[in-house]
Amino acid sequence: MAGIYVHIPFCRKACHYCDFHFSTSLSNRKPMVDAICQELRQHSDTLTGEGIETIYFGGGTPSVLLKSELIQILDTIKDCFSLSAEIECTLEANPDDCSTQNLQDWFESGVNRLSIGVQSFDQRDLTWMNRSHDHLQATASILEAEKVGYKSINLDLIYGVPTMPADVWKSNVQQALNLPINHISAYSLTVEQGTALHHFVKTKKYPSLDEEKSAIEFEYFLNEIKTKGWEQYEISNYCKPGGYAQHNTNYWKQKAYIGVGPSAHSYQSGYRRWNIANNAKYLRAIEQGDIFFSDEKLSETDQINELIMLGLRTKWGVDTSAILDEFNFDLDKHVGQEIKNYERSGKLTQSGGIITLTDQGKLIADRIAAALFTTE
Amino acid sequence: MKNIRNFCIIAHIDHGKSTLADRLLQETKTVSERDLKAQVLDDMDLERERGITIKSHAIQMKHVHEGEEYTLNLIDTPGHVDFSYEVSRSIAACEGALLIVDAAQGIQAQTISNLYLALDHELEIIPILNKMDLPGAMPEEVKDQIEELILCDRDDIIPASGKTGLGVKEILKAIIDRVPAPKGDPKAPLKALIFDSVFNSFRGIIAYFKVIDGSIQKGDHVKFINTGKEYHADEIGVLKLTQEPKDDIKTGNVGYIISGIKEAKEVKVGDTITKVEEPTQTAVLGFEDVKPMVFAGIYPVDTEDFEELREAMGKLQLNDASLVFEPESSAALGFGFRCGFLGMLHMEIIQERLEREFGMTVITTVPNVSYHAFNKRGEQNIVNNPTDLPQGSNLDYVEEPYINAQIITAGDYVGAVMGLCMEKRGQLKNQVYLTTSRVELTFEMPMAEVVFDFYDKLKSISRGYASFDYHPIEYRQSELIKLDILLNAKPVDALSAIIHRDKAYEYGKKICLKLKELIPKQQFEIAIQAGIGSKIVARETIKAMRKDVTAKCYGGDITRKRKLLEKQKKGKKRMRQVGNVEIPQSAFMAVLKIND
Ligand SMILES: Nc1nc2c(ncn2[C@@H]2O[C@H](COP(=O)(O)OP(=O)(O)OP(=O)(O)O)[C@@H](O)[C@H]2O)c(=O)[nH]1
Ligand code: SF4
Ligand SMILES: [Mg+2]
Repeated sequence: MAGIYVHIPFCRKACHYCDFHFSTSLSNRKPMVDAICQELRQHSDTLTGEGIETIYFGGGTPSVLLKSELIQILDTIKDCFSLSAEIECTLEANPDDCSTQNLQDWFESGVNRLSIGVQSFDQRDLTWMNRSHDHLQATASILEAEKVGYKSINLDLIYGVPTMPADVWKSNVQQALNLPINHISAYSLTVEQGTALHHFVKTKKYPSLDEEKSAIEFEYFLNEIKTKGWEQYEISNYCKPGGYAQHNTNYWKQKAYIGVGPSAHSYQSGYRRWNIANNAKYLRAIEQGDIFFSDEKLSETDQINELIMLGLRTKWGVDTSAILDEFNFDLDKHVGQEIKNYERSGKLTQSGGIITLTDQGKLIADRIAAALFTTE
Repeated sequence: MKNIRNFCIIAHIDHGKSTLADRLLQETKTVSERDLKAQVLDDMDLERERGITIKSHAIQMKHVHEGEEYTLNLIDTPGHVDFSYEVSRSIAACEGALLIVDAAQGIQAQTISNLYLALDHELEIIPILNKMDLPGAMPEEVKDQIEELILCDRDDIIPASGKTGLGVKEILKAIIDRVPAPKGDPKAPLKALIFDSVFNSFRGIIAYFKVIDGSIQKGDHVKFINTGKEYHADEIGVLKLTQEPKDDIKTGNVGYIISGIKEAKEVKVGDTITKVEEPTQTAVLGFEDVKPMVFAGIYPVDTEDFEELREAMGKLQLNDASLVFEPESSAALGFGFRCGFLGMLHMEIIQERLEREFGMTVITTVPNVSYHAFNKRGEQNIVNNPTDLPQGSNLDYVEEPYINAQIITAGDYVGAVMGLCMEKRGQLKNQVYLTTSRVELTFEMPMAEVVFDFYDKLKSISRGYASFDYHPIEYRQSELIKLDILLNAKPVDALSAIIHRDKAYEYGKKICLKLKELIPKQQFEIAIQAGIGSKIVARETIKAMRKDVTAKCYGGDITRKRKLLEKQKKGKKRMRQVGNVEIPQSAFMAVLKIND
């Protein structure tokens, strides 16, 4: 079981909050696609024996790709790897790229899951975030995608926006739930170093975040979604029964994946590498056959800590007996007291050797993860 | 003896003492061109990095003048006020002093205080107008100031530059012509003044001395008068760039002695060396035990490292006798030491040396002065830690140390400086115009008020045109109270402070606000209170943490996120707990930053 992540490092406009790697100049798209295909070929022998079950086009904005480019990449993948029959192939798309034609092109190329960057249905928020689409395109793109035949659609929402009135968030949630989708990624807005938002907050052009507001909106969302029969299976990810995003779930379960394109990460049994986050340098290195990535070998401690950190975020929890089996490490012996304290205060539950967070615990998942980390 | 000249270089901080010493060493070829580097005498790493002299440095030069060879013993002194006792001992070992004045800055506070020290010891003063190469040099104006200050002949002031070497030959000539040869009695019993000591990890403590009367031979059975300890002079010699062993050191000369001394405490700067068989009747006057001026708690960051810290402190004390410490314990910080320092710079240096030389990161509590608490029966208690201040009926009144502070500033800033000193409970004692535009202000004020942000404030209100020097005068009774800080109603002993009653409210408010900024949100609400006895004077609240969770955690985020959480876990391990509240280390130094 393994996945392939393809990073398309281009966006039409830079969203104020975004710290992903992308360029707003699309001029290098063609050489970039060539380079990505070349990198894919370099990987062809790394995942021998593992069938590819998921492909994920992320970014940046993969929906800026031409049909031919998308096909070029997918064909390369098919050439180099053995794909499983039930493959999940996701494309991140911005609503302004979701014309009927494009939706059809992607579908025909093999994309069977869309992740649409809606963020909000209110124009004021979209302007505040500097998104490239408008509020009408958001709804339209999803309705159109359903018509084209997509069965699996995710949409992204952002909450905790200081200027977003509480009723707008509620209405965003309701509108989303009324659309023909089976998955929502709802992110709490964060202010990342080096983003425009960071600068605006620092210079007081934008108000700073309000933790309380974000917590209230999170709680509202959680409550709404549950009454509608949805499931929270990761801190920021929700689906209708069975609608898990396979690709992302593999990250949280420490499964193997190959990431290609600038800034993409790859992981396989304790080895992680990440490509340079610079389009020009990536292109040059690929062309000249130079090293274009850094890597690290995770120690057992690192691997255990990642299993804790990621496991706590999901409904599958941290499997302490699996950790004991694989690393001969007894979590209970090291942080048993911390686990008990959090259990007593209602932040986590244990059953059958599996630790999962309660809704209260999810609000402070990072703090709990840090407390359960091992420092040996 | 008639060909020996002993002189020191004194000045305000940064006026170029060590750089000028370089030029003298170069001119006399004491240091080869190859070994010469800027401020070569500042041989401690810390001195080199900070560009300041922390310890006195002695070195011997040979110089031929008009066909005769002279022995010139030079002592470069530190300029910073924390080390003024060292300067005074260096001065006591000399017959002359180069008084250096920066031609761009003119006379400053330590110029005057060091000059007076030298005059007290009847040293011949050679005034030097340094940094003449600077475009901002104001030779005529500064000459006026010097002339006025030391009543010398204007022509005796030597224009010089440590940078270009201007005036170096004239300085050497002046040292030989104007500084008197030492006047001791070669036939009298040995009397030598210890003016410095250094630590060498192979040889133990090495004491530097000047022979005032008699002479010392290798192998002599000697005694240090103030400590009463006796030693054999295993090795004696003179101080070149490295030590040069000799069989004897004669009257008037400067040398070093190695006698198997293990601890710096045994070698007190200012002590007198004599011979056991034939002791001198008169010790050198002016010996004082160096008294620490400020006190602070030093605690290991990891509580388990207490023993390691004890060892490190002990080793530091081997080569810095002015550091004093005793174990103490704090409910908030665990086991540590209450340490006494010469001043804030000294404290900083110790902290840095602990880190650098011993790899010990420490928590330093807010520094305070030493108080005298009296009970109703008139008995005195020395209080070096605010928590030790007796309360209620056990306390009648408290005395605090006062200093005499000299501030030299430009006329334009007199008002601002006075305002600041008044706010710091100072009383103006004197105001003298050194020239039409430069004023010397003398205040008496509580030492506690100048311990932390005073100097920074002084510099900022005077745009850098103010220099400051002080010396302790006496203890005086003040309206002092102990202000406690409580977190969720539990007092944090390490944050208690002794302050003047009139300032308690404002101080309490500021520190509560600062702590609110420094203590991270926790799962419950935290009340921060400042109180005097049972009366609360200020309060702030830290709201409970609502949310602490990363929004996105996909393939590319995992490594970074894991590292962040690992760091958090380490930081948390280092936090201290009072009641149920976790306090980061930075909070214990909060008071130092309450005005930021
Ligand atoms: N332009 C110029 N700069 C000088 C001269 N002498 C010293 N300096 C500079 O002034 C600064 C202080 O010089 P030091 O020789 O360390 O001064 P100091 O008096 O020994 O300082 P402390 O020992 O810390 O009191 C250094 O940056 C020197 O480079 C000079 O004659 N001309
Ligand atoms: S479109 Fe997506 S990747 Fe591009 S700037 Fe906006 S949020 Fe970032
Ligand atoms: Mg110096």
